[in-house]
Amino acid sequence: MKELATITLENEMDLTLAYKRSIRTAELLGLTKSTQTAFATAVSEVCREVIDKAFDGLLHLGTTKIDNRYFITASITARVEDDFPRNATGIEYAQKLVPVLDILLGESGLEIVLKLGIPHSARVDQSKIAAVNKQMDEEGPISAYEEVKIRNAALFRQSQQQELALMNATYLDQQKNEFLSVASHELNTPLTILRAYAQIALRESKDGPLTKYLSKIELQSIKLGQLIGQLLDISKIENGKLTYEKEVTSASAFLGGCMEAGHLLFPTHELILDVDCACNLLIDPIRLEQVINNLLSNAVKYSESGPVRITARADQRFLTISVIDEGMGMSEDTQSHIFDKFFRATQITKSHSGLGMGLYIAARIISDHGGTIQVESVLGGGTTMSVVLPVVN
Amino acid sequence: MKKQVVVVEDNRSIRELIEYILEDHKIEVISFGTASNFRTSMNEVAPDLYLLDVMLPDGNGIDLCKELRAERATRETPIIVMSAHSDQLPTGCDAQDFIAKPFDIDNFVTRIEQQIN
Repeated sequence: MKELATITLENEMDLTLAYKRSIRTAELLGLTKSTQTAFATAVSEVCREVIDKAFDGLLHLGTTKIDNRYFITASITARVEDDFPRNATGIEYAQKLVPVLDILLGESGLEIVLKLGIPHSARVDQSKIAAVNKQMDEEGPISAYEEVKIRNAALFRQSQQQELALMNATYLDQQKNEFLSVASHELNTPLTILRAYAQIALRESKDGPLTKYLSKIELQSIKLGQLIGQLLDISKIENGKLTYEKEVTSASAFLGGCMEAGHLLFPTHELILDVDCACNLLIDPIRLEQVINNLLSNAVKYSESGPVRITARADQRFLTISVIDEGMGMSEDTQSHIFDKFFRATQITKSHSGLGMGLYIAARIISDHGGTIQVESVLGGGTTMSVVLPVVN
Repeated sequence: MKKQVVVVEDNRSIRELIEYILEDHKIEVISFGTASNFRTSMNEVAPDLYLLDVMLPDGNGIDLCKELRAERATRETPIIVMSAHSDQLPTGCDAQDFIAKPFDIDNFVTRIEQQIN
């Protein structure tokens, strides 16, 4: 069938539309007024039964060519749950109006085909059908209802596409998180062996010539472990699986512990601790140490020399921990992005290694503790990263 | 008498590493690579500690932990769960301690000794 129009069959108004569209199609194909009416009435009667007794009805209007003769044709397809009554009033009435009415009921559903021969005097051929098709396109909607229906269909298609795009994005996101999770596990297993044997070898080297190299292997394996840990954290954040074991902790004892670890990790850098508070915090100490370590390692990484200071000051409600360096600083634009996932300032991508995960994770951990993290920096004039946490009494 | 630790860990290199570390500390190690191998011999051993990896090819350490807790003979035996996939004891797991991989050897040995002494 050469299709000229399609109408979804949902309600009574679609019957009027099916009737009008059938009349217009028959008219443009050159049928007489009475034949137009007979064909359109038959089509709308069948459509009425389909709307009434079947689901997801669809009317296709067009032409078919059989043995060099053209027929105006309506094909109504629908989904049926049980049987479809072939002797329904509307079907029987339609059978009287058109010479051909075939009812096909199979596994693919119901199809009712109505055909009415177009007289030779109408001079229908391929080019006339093409002209009718073009004219119907140009005429646009036959009624305000059809216009709304066409717009609705377009909106429906658009929303389906958006839904599909969203599903794809969600699927890709899940795949990425699963990959991060599996990859970090797979990397951790060989790293466990590497790090442990480096420690064993370091002990057995007894300050021999290999000690220096083995220490480097151990230190780098610790750093690699931290990177893998960050990958795992990102996958946990995105899966909502980052959990905390919070306990009341003395701020000064906690920061003292962070400082000890800092001296081990950055033995050549001057680190100064300046704590003037005697408050307690409700924190997951391991997670908070991870944040302070990250701020310290950034401060060390981005300052060639010069000390890094950790200060802690508290008022009645909040403790402010600041990590202050005298390093290269950063622009305002960079400051506005440093907590974004995987962000790295273009100026430092080649000169300083990193994956842009640390501050994203740190900000998440701090906000999960009811706190905030802020940056103050001047390009070339150092950076102060401040963590503000609520104190507990 | 030597203390005895049962290790259920699928990665052979990590099993060998744990055997090396613990035997160096005069602790006897009996290792299993799969949950099913462990279950087969479960009643033939009476260790001072179970060290269970979470992810195993045919099961997981959390389920093994539950099974050991349900048995009268092993109900009181300390259990340490370890994982390269997490940094804390999974919720609902009734083990005494958790070790994240990779670990620091001194910390690893301390945690084991805390449970068996």
